[in-house]
Amino acid sequence: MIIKAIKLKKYYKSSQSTIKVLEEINLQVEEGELIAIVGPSGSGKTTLLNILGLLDNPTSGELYINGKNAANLSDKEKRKIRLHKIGFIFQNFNLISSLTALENVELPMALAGIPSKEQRKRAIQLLKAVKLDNKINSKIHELSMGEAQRVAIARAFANNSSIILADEPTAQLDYENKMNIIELLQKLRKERNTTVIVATHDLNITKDFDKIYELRNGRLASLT
Amino acid sequence: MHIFTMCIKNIFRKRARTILCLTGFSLCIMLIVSVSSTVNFTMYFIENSNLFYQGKIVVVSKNSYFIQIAPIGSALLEKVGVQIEEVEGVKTAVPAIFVYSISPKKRFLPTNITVGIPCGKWNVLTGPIEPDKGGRWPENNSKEVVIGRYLAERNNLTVGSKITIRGVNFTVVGILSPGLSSVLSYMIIMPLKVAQEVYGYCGIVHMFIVEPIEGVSEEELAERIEEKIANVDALTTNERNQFTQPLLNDFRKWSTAIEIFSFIIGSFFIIVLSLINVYERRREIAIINSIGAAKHQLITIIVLEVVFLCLIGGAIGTVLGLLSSFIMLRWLGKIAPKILLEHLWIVINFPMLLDVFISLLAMGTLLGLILAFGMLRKGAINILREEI
Repeated sequence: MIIKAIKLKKYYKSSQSTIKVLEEINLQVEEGELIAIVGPSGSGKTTLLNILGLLDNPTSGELYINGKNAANLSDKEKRKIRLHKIGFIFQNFNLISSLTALENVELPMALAGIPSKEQRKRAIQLLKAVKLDNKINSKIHELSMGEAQRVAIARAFANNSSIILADEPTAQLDYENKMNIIELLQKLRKERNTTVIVATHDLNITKDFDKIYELRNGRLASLT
Repeated sequence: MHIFTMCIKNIFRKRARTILCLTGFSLCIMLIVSVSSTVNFTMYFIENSNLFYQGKIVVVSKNSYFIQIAPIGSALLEKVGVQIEEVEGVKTAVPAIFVYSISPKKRFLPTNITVGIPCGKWNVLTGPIEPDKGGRWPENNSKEVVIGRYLAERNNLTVGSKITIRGVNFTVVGILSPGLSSVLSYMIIMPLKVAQEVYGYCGIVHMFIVEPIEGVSEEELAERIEEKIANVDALTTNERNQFTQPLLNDFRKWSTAIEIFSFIIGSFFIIVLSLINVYERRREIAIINSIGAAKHQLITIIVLEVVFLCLIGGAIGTVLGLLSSFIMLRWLGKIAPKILLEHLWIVINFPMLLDVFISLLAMGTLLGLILAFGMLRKGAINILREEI
């Protein structure tokens, strides 16, 4: 089991009240699975992905990544796991605008200390896999939304991460690009045996997913 | 790609931001360097221009003023010189007259000073400085003059040129290029007898420059002269300096205040610019953090960029500051380019530049660290959430 969440809760305290975003999340994810977490905007999908991706801490509950209890991990260990084991795909891409497509894909490898030649070789391979080999030296603002999201996908796979967390990866795309992105994610997942968790409000893109969960009122319910 | 390469690329690709930052940094450093260099040179100039008659006593009429090189309101009979030479311990007593030519339309300071000195005694006034190559001192009681470099340049005069002073024609026989003394640069030096004749000071001089014999202190000799000769003040080097010292001290205080003020203003703007610069990159830093960058990598990215901008801006600002300092000294201070070039290392003032660079580097690094730790404390996800 690559991810195991037990009774995860996340509350945000404001001056007047406590907002209960996640009530009791129980989730088990096997290696290589393609999972969808669906739910309307504001249901807590992003918060859940941030917790699963070790970007945020739960208020209570237990989270195991590759069998390791996240609560026992130091910041340094969490950062290492994020860099080597987890790839993020954000709704608004979160690419670095001053770098080219190629450099954006090289970035996680640079942070991981992979030699420059190897970085370049792998980045070009990934950009070819996402069909952007003709745009490797393009700046981010020169790319379309679909292309930018494909760069983000290539970046997420750069360090051969075993878990990919995609937060609304198709939200800003038209139907054709949506389907292309999902096909791409499925293809890369199969090739690399990667676990992919996609948070989305769009059930149409979840046709071939292994498991689909609905996040409602802070709880996960299986739809499959 | 290396993190360092990424920083450099980022700086060069975000050209507008980089240019604005560098312009701001450069202007701040320019302000600091130009003020410090100008003040430093001016102080050096004033202090070194005030070294006339070192180790000698100046005898003037009682209660007259003496500033830097010449008395104001002093008149003595020439024959007093004989009395002075009779005082025990006096080696020589050289008479001199000083006539200021002031053009109130142009400026407060004299446009030139005519000095009459006995032939052969020129060095009492000019020290080791001799007329430039091709020139010489005036011959005995001839209508010849040696003029300062500034007067020569301003009036296009060379050796052999003719000038008229109070209706009398003179020949320029030498040009004097003093190092730092602007006063000498404004002088017309002629034989004493000729000066007395031209200006109507027959038998009258303004002061005597008295050299003590070896082993006799200035203070001791000055006392003897004042005891023996009525209605004169014998001023030692220390006493003469006392006239200018308060003025110099005031100037030093003001100049230090101006330097500190310019440094505070410059530093303030550098801090503001650095903050804006890093704050503007919050999102990128948060993205890199979310990917999993180590703490030291994030700190390196932020510090490298701030330090890089500080250093480049510092270098440009230093060059601009020195140029503006030269311009100020040349055009406002009327200091000859030759003198400026001869004293280049006083204007450039390496210790001051080193101080500025070290402060700048320390400021850049410290700011970078504060900002980096601030971002790390806030957490990538919170920053990304805020940025949306």
